[in-house]
Amino acid sequence: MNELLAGVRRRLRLAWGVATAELLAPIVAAVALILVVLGRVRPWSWPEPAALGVALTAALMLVLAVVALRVPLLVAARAADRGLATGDAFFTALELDGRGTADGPFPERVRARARRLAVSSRPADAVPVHMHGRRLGVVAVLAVAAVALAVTANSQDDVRRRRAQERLAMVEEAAKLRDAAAELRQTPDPPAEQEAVARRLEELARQLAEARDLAAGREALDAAARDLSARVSSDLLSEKAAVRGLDRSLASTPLPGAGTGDAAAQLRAAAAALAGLTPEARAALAERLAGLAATQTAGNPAAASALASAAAALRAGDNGGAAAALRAGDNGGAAAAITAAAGAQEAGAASVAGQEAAVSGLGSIATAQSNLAAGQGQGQGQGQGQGQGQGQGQGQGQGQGQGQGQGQGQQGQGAGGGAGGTNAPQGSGQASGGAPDGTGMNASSGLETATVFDPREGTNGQQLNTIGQQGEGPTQQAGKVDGPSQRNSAQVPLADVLPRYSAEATRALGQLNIPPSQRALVQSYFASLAEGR
Amino acid sequence: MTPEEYGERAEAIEAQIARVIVGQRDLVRQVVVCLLCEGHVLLEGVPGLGKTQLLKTLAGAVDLAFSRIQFTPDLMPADILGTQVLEEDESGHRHFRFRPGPVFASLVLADEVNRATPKTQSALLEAMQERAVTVAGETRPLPRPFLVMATQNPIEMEGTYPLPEAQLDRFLLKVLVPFPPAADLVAVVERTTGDHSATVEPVADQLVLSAMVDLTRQVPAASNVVQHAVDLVVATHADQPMAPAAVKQYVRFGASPRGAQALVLAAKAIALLDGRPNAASADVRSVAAAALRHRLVLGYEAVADGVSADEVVDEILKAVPDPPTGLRGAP
Repeated sequence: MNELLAGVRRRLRLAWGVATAELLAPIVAAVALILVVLGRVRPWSWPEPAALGVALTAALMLVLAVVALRVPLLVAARAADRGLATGDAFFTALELDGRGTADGPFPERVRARARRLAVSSRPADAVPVHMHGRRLGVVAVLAVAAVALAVTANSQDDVRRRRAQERLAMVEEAAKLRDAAAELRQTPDPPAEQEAVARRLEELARQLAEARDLAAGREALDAAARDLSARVSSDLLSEKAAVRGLDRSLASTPLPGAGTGDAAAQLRAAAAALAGLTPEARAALAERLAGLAATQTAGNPAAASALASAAAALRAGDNGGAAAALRAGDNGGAAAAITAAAGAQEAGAASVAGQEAAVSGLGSIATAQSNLAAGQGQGQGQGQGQGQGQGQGQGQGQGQGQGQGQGQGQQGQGAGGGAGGTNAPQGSGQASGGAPDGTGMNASSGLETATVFDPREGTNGQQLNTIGQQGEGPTQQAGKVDGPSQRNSAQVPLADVLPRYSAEATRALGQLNIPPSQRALVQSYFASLAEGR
Repeated sequence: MTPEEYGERAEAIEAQIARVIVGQRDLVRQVVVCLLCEGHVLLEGVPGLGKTQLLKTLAGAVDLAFSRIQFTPDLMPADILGTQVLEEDESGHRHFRFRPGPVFASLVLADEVNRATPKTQSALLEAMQERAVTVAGETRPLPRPFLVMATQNPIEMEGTYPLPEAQLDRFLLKVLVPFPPAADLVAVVERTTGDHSATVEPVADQLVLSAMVDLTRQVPAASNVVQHAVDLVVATHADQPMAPAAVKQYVRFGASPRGAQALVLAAKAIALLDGRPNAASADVRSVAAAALRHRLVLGYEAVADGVSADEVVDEILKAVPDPPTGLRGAP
């Protein structure tokens, strides 16, 4: 009898599991279906996994419950009595055993009868497992509907995929920001400002990694950009660009008779050698000094003024005045001004390092923003990058004034980014959806010999086309700019125009309602140009 | 006595009854159950169905003192219980001597019991419950076993007095005597219109029957069986949660605890008669109608709606099924 009752207990567990499954399955299937349907009408990523999770959890819980279910022996005996119609033989026998009653003619007869019945009975007969067809049918219909809806194409899948990409992009950018912070920390004994920037970048990386969506990520980036922008002096870049630009310009094309050396040394040498110059050489030198003066106007007005004075003196045949204007002296000669500017840069090395770190951080942020914007543009077609790419790109003496192109991509597919020169007043259009930093950065290579378009040198305009990159946006006419009409006539060395461009850009950034991220992008761009990267 | 001997004796009694009574196996079985439980039985049926014949045959199948009382409106309690009579002995002294009435027998056939007045009917109350009779301040025990087998006619209202609830409650079972099927009726006609009459021989005496009664009470009934009997009785009360709608609507008073006792006791006898050593819930349910129908006091709504006690009991059986195991999916 015990063997039969043990089998009956197992069958009771099975029957309980089946009955419970029949009871719960329609509910679980309905919930799963609702979640799947929800996943088709909302762009949430969790409904379908949740539907699967609900089903699996319910199944797992049921299995665990079946395993953990304890069936008392009396219950098994009662079930066997009912299932086998034994007239309460097993239950009575167990109760008599429990009571320990042995008196009278009946207890042993009851037990013997129970044993006989147990021998000829099977647990499966005692506890048949019934399946209700209608209920199973309902479950099957619901389950099939849920699976079918889950595996068929879902309009929300694209949205989810894009969000996943955004999430991945944010995580990747967070890693890059951490790398940038680590790089800032690699400097031996970094100034406090640099350390602060590194911490800010790390915090930003954390915020970015934890951001719930792209908007939050961009918000964090903008906040960080604003924070770091406040650390950067607007004059720093232009002054730095002016000093470095003059050095490079004179290094590549030394002043006549000045030999080699830095700008200040060449100017002093030139001042000393004025007396030995031929009239033609003095005229050439005057012309060169005037050009250099123009490059220093924005970043180093004192040097520009001295250089202009020297050029004017040379044109007037006043070698003494020119020499005085070139040399260092109390009256503010060009060399003195240049030396003073360089000295100021060196004297404020710590501050400069901090600001450069901030600029570097801004660059990282700008890159991250542009990357995120690119990711967003792919999906939504509303990239916001106003592609003020101000590199020199494809000038290359072709006379193609490309202006400040701001292309307008269609449906987010077009990659914006002006490809050419700067400061083109007629540049128009709006870039959207692309990587606004793209093309201008290409100008960093070959800086010493690179030439760029200067719209002041050109005469006629030329149609400017921006070509969509990495997308399907059609090429659109973005405007017309004044550009050179003669071959090679508009090309000038980058170093000659960089300070002015940088200053103009900085001033423009201060005047226009430009998002901090874009402002950081421009600042980092000119910072990289000034560094010669 | 062993359960096997019990079965053989009971089978022999039923066989003797079957020599006279054609068919009616359930009826005979329920009457024998009452005999083996030492419980009083009330047979109800229209005239001519063999109620009196059945009880007379039963009395003949067992070697017990038998008396028959024909209840009439002028029947007095003393006519049943006995009376004190004044006697004078040889020396001229007079004294009262108790002259036992017909109730002083093991088997008492109270024929057409509802024809006597309530006063006379009530004379049986003490005898049926206490198995003793008190006359003139002296209580006299009745022989064991003692069994009142009463009959009543349900269709004649003139000159009848419905049995009081207290007395009805003392009957273990109220057995309805159905009209026999045609085949049985043919046999009845053939058997009763010939020149031979069936004879019945006693197959059990007082000692055997007492042993059988004792053995019946020893049959084990599991707790769930007793609980089921109690549940059925509780369900006959309109104020109980488990009472079905029919009870709430039609029953004024439900069954007394004697109802539960009757259910379990009769279930034990049935189990033994079926050759099983223990009572089962199914046994309880099989006698539910006979044990409960006379214990339900129906209201006028039942009369108005033509609802019988048996129909109410059926509703109770539906509302109170054999208790399941309480485990989902289990039988």
